[in-house]
Amino acid sequence: MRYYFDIGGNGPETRDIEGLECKSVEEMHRRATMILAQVALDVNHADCLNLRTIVRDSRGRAVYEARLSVEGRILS
Amino acid sequence: MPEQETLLPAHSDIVRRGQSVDSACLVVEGFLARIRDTSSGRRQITAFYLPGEMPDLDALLVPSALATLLALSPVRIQRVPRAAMRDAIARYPAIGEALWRQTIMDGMIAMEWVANIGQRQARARIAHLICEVAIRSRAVAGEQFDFAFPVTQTHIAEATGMSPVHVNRSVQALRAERALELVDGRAFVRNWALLQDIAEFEGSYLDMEAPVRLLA
Repeated sequence: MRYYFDIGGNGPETRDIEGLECKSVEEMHRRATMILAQVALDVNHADCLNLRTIVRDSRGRAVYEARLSVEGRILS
Repeated sequence: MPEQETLLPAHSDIVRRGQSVDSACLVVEGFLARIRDTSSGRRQITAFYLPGEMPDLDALLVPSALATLLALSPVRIQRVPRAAMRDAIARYPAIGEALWRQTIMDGMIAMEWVANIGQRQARARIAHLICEVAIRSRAVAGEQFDFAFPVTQTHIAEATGMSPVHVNRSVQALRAERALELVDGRAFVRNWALLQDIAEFEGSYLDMEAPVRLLA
């Protein structure tokens, strides 16, 4: 099954045109997590991160959403 | 020197790791990749090879192929038999030296790829790869030029250790910055200075003249 991972949050919104072939829904979940983790490495902001991916199926329907965030606060 | 030219389709294996070999190949046309399959079935591309280069010089010294070579596009190769090549090297030391230089350059490129994966962010990794191939292709001409780059975004992902989705996002960013576009198997450099800057590209590691033009 082919899934399309649109990414938003820190940085520009991007639409996935090519998609990824996944053998199962579980694999799609894992890949969503991995993609967010990889994109997070690129984010230059100092202390907060808020990324989101919405995954569409081959019919264009949004079927899954994953978020990755890091929040920091100073401890006094 | 005896030569036989072979035409192979895209996605075919030129050589499989462990296969017994008695010749090295010279790329005449098209792009090859050296690949390393992992146990999870995921593939890592560890090098690209371009026309004029010899991807498996190890075949001149070792009886079985050290790595799998895959055609990324339709390719034309010449196979140079080991015995004939060794004979030529014995008679013309300059040939041996040329092959030695190619091997050193391969090593330098591999070191840059390690730095690419270890240090650079996604967009910079892709920019670096393009800068390197532009120079190896001898395509650089002013600030805007284009060259054959029959490499899909999935291949770029396999070469840079990223997800294809992340590659796509980074390629879109490079296009938005008007640095680079990848269209229909060609790379269109829109701003060479900017692309090198994004890549932190320092190209002196490629200064070894591509030596195999002596033989072709």
